[in-house]
Amino acid sequence: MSEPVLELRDVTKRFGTRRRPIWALAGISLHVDAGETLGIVGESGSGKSTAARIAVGLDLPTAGNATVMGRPVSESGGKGLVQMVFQDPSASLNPLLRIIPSVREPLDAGSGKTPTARQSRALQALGEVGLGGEGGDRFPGALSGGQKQRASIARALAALPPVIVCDEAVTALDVSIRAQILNLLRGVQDAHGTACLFISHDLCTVAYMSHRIVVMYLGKIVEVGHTEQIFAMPAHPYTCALLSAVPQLQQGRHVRPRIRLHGDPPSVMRPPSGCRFHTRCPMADERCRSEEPLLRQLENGHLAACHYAPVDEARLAALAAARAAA
Amino acid sequence: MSGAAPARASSPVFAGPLLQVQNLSVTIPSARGDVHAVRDVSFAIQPGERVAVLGESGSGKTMTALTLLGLQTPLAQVSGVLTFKGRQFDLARQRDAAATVLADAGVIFQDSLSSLNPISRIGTQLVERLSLRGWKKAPAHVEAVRVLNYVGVADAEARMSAYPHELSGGMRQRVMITMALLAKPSLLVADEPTTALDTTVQAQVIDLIRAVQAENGMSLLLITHDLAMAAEVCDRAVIMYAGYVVEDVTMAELLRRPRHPYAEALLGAMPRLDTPGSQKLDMIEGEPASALGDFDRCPFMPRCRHADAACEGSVPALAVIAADHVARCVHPGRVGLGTPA
Repeated sequence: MSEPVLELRDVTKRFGTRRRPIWALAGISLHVDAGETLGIVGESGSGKSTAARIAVGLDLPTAGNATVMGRPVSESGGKGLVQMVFQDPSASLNPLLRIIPSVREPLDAGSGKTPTARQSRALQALGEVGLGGEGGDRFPGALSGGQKQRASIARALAALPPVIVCDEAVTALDVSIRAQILNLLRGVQDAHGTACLFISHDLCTVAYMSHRIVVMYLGKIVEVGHTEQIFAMPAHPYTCALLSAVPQLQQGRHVRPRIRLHGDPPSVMRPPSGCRFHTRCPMADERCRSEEPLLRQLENGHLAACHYAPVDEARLAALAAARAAA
Repeated sequence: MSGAAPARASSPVFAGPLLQVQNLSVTIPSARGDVHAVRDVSFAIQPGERVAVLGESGSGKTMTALTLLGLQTPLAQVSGVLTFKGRQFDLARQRDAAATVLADAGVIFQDSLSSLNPISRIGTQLVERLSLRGWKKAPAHVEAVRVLNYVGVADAEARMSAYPHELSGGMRQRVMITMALLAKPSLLVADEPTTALDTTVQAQVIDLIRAVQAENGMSLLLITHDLAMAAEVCDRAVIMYAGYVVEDVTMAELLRRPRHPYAEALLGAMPRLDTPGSQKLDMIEGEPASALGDFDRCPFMPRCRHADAACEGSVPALAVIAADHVARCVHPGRVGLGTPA
């Protein structure tokens, strides 16, 4: 198998002080292969955005390492090889700079190309995202939210990096614009063979974009698998609950058994003992409270961190209903 | 959910809808010209009915709800007729119309943190709500704890002395729902009630709103951009675009066959879990229409795949598709027939 384009190995990240640590990432490993889109889903506090920031070198891991094309992301050689698209395009474009120089910046920062070549590549990138013509001469303030996000994508792709990281890249956009941006991202990825780490809290969007999906909970990976595996046979109770919590368009008809979790996600400042999900898991028992489950392979490429994986959705739903009634 | 439901709203003494708006327009003057936030909007909510007002940012959905509650900006110029529980008000002249609605409505906003007073305890705020309705302090406290229990706030007595920031987002939204229920409203207005919440907590709050609505028999006005959530909760959809109602239809019929191209396009533009990644999303080209100025054509025309010369000249009137189904389109017969040719 060829070397992954992007890899996080045993990465942990601690915020806060040594005495009162907040482990945003409690040890995760993942990899993105060439041309592949890996999705990360999780709720607030799951560590998905921290993973994204470490993957592009905006944050340094407390332990473990992040590599792109085999090189550490934080070193100068690795930095230009991975680019990021942020959630808020208004905050990620310099308001005092016209669009073209913003898009050209990754090239100016050390592509070794001539000024003419850099300018023409920037214009080409803008054309690819549908901002050709005079779009590039405008300031960010003159563009709509969707157009700004197009410009951010052009900037991320200007230097043709092997991998990009999208952190909630369409969350701030309206539904009709969201579909445009998602299709655009898929299009430019296909055109250049760009790999992507796609992070969102929205399961539907991640499912649409990703070949494989990582499900995170409180700084840990609870399940990894191909998109079809995750949706056809979710193995971890949290994944099952997450899938059943997504509103479906079919009115009053639930394809999946309804699994309702009790309470809110616990604080990352005080993660539960044993399995981090045991406080909300309908089927948790003594073992789950004391012994932390390891990520183990269920079948080819499908891993889950649960003592009882793969779990039966119908049984889980029955247990959740019984717990709610109690 | 535990404890008994609050007493049912008394059966209506009026005939017809609980709330009806006719030809509501809201215009806000600005430096760049008049912003036509709401244009000629009419719809009705029957007693016990759950109605979703759906639209994207700038569609006028929130402004419509705020105006019905009298919470619009003082600069706004409002016109239209509001009928609430059989009483009719001219919105341009009668400023007290909204107060009548507000007194009989419970409101849940998106941002519970800024809707609650940050420097006052939860209990104080809940008791104050009842004091305004003439309750004595001690029974008001008991009632507040009872309703907190009812909406699933664990350890309700202790939570009464908590400040809003000490509660999680899901818990605060339950406090907001409690606040709304204390008034025993006949109408529950929820403006994007779960947008700020995590997926699993969102499901809890949606379930709660559904249960509360069903057990108390009140009407629900849900303002949202989320079609899937609206489909789970509501009986009827009022879809807005550029300040206009473009389709008013039962939820079942909307999912079966939408008759406005915007509604049709929205259904196709949503990533769905039953078809992950396999199909390309239908795109709505272009950008949403501006709220400035007037239209001399269908506002959706530049983005519409069914448009032709008939769509120019003026804004289309509402076409009657069935007794309880209208669409603001000149070609409703072409819409909703599946993939484009």
